[in-house]
Amino acid sequence: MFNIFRISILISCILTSVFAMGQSNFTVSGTVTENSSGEGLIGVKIKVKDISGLGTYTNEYGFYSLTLKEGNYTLEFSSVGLEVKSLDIELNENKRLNIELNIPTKIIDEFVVTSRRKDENVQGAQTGVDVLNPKQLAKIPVLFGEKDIIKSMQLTPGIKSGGDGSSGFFVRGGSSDQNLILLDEAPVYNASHLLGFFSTFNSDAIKTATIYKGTQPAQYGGRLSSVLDIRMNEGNNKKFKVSGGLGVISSKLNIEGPIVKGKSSFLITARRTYADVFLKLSKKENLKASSLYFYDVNAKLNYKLGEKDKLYISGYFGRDKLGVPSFGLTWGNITGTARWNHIINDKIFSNTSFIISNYIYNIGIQSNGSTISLNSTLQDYNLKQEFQYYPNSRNKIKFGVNSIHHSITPGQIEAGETSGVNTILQKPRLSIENSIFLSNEWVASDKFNVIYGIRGSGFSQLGNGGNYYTYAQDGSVLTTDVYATNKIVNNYFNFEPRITASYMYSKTASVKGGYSRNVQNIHLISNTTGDNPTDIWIPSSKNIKSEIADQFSLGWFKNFRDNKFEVSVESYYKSMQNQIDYKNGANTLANDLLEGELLYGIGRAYGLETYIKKTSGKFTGWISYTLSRTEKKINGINSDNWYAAKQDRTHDLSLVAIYDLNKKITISATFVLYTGSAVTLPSGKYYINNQVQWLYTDRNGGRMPTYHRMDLALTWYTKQTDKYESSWNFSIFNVYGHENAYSLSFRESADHTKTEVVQTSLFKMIPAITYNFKFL
Amino acid sequence: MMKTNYLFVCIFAIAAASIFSSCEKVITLDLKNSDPLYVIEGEVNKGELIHSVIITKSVKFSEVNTFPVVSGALVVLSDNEGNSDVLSEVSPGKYSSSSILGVEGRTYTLSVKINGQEFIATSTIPQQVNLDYLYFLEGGFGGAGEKVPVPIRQDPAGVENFYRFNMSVSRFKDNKGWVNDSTILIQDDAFSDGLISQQPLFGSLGFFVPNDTCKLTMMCVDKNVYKYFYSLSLNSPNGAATPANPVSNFSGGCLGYFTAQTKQTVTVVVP
Repeated sequence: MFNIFRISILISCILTSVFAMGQSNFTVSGTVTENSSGEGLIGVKIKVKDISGLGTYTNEYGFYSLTLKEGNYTLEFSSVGLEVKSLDIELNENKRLNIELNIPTKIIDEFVVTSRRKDENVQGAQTGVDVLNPKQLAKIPVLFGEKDIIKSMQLTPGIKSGGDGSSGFFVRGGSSDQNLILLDEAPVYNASHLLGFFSTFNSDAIKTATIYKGTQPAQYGGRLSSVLDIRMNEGNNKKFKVSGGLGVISSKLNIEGPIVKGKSSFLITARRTYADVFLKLSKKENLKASSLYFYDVNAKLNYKLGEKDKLYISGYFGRDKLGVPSFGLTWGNITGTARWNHIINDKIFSNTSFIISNYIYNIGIQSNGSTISLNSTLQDYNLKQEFQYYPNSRNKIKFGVNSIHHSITPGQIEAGETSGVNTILQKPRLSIENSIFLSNEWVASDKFNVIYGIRGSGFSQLGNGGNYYTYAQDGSVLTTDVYATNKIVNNYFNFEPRITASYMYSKTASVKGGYSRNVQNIHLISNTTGDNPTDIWIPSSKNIKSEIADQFSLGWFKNFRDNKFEVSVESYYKSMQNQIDYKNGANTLANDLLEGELLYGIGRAYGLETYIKKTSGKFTGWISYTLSRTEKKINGINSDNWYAAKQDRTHDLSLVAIYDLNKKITISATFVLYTGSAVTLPSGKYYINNQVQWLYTDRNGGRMPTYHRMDLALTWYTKQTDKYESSWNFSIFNVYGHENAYSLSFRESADHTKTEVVQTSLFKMIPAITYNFKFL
Repeated sequence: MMKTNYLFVCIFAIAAASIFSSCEKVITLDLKNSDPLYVIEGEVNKGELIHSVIITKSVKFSEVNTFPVVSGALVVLSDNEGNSDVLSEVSPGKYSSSSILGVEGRTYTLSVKINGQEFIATSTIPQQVNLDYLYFLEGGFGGAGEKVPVPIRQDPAGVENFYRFNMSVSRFKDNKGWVNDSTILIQDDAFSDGLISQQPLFGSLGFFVPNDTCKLTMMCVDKNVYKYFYSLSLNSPNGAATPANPVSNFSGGCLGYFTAQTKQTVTVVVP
């Protein structure tokens, strides 16, 4: 535990390094937008040409502020994929400078593989971060041709896929619920569609996606292993635009345009899959009457209230439906975000956000003429205030507060009178998560960069008028207490120090290191292999303590040939406390005493990630290889010994190659190979209850077969005029048809004398075709 | 209700199989081998005097399905009324008691001593709930004419009840005789306490059609026996992510279960 003394030292360090210099300084500030659409640009580099190492970049709303000594300077604004703009300024007073950057006239010549600044990977202090741009993903082959930011992200080091048919991902040994997934700041609780075959993010609506797998900046918190921060497009405020795509499994449409030209804009993106159309072709009657689809809508409005104020309202609505006659499952997320940007003065930027997240699932069963419904709701109200303060050209301070109110109804039953089932209503479990954060990005010299900060997070479970239990070792109820609504049941408070630093020992190479502590107070209790929409989130309670992770990381970064090649080697060690697992034979369905079925322990993960990337030229791509280990030690499992976590993977290799044949045609290929996940396999068999059963000894003591797969894609830009653009995308998933194991099962051989292992695979080879169009 | 999770996974698997090119194949896998464990299966039924206990051993996964029987064990059955009986080995590995009556509400203890190891389990015969009749539900889950059996019973209010079933079918269309459904069929009253229970049974032999014959045995079991079969059912291919040995009511580290239960069998020709 960090004591107050150490915290005050940290805070005073932040303040002294910030206010060390006081001279006659002036500030240039403003916003950077993209010329044709008026969209704010994130992460534009602003370089002071005259002083090496000095500069800044735009924040998530396109705002920048740079304080320099009085004098003449040349500022260079650059962002990958856009034309560089240089400006001479005479700085003798505070200046407001709004910049528009242009898209190069011949867009196809521009081959963007990274949206990062050219040497950002070497220079920035942030370790373990990756920024993905939907444009670069367009060329990477994907399942059913459906561009998917989460799937493509899994091709980079340290991020592992949950396997075929899963959108879950594992970052540096964390489980999939330890990733904080934000869509315009709103947490998304189930990021998968169709039980994991697709992610909830329509890449047409996305501006950028940033994943922090190492030290997370202090403004983020609440999950142990990573933050995936997804920002939606704002909508073109200059021109009306329609674009879309027609694919084998889904179609989508995107409409955007100005409401008041140059002042406000809107964006609506919608898509729907039609997998169930194929069901209709089935001869089986009950398959014909089945439904299996999802749809989602992203919408955003933004309004410039004045020179200093901007309002954004954005939302997401998605639903999945899976049904056969008399049985149906519906689930989905709703998020809503209202944000107000206010430029207090040249140096202080403020953002206030009010956020709603909602996740529901509902299972409906027809029984004896009436309906039984099993449903669960998770509802968050979230208020966040963040300030960004740019005191001088070497420091950038962020501080703020955040408060989230969670209301979770884990699973209740509403049944009709003749259904033969009782209505069992559950009171929502209430909790409140408060946090405060302070961080500074400090350019100590042109070689040395540090980001350091601290987050204080408090979590309180609040009473709902119902029973609160504690449990004995064997899972039986020990104490039962009733807490009145909003009365505090239990409190957890944690400090989360975070620091990351880089030292450039040459113009093209650096070493970086970091330490961070993360705390998680909302836990997903999952007992299934895939992403199951009925998995339950539960708050920290009298029994479940805050999960805590401490991560140390160290990396070496080097660019070759004028930043054409990027090479990095990163290593990490993570230790985790208060990890949760199930008891054998736990019952998770609408179980009021669920916490009695849980076991607790610790975890550790360590690994080495290597990355070689070619970022420009006709041929681009990367090789990513991760060597790692993830283990758990849970009291009551495996005789209290360490065992491999499900997501433990010794080797994980990804290759991505993109080749621009000419201005119209791009071909690409990906190859992945990884160690099969750790599973529990039989170590013998016995006969009971008139059948053969399997004997198990070690939890996760076995391995699935090694996974490997190659995908190919071809993108053909057929038309490119001022008014209309179109392209075709052809892709083949699993080109050489390798049957990768989705699950293993065991059965008696047909003659009942022997036992055999049966491997089920989902996808052999899947070709797909998508047509994309754009009216300008 | 218990099976809804399993059910939707099944439905999705069917849908997935029809849309995507899902495929199965038999593979060879290098599996670890653990030392053999004793497997004890004991049953006391209400109203009966003869109860049997079967003791076998587990084998390696790769071996043929012949399971060695265990002879020479000291098997003692007793109840909470002070009755006790040493079981005699009637055939190799099969032990039988003939002096203890199964009575509702009584708790029975089975103790087994083999080669210096001792395994003990207790189980109580619960209050019997009557299987009123077997109803066949048409439509809903299957197509026209395809039916699922629904055991109708009046669940007593205010007590936890647990049920286990054995089901076999004799098809009208073929002459194979009785085929036993190997699916673990269990129900509880967590969501239907005090109601006329109408939960259907989903076996693995497919839907019933008119003129098939269904033989159904319903057993009222205690909570620990239910837990055993519930955890065993999670090991089915679409069950839990992490399979494990079922939670046994035996202490001492053997496999298997001991159940004291009621038993009622009906045979119904599907209308």
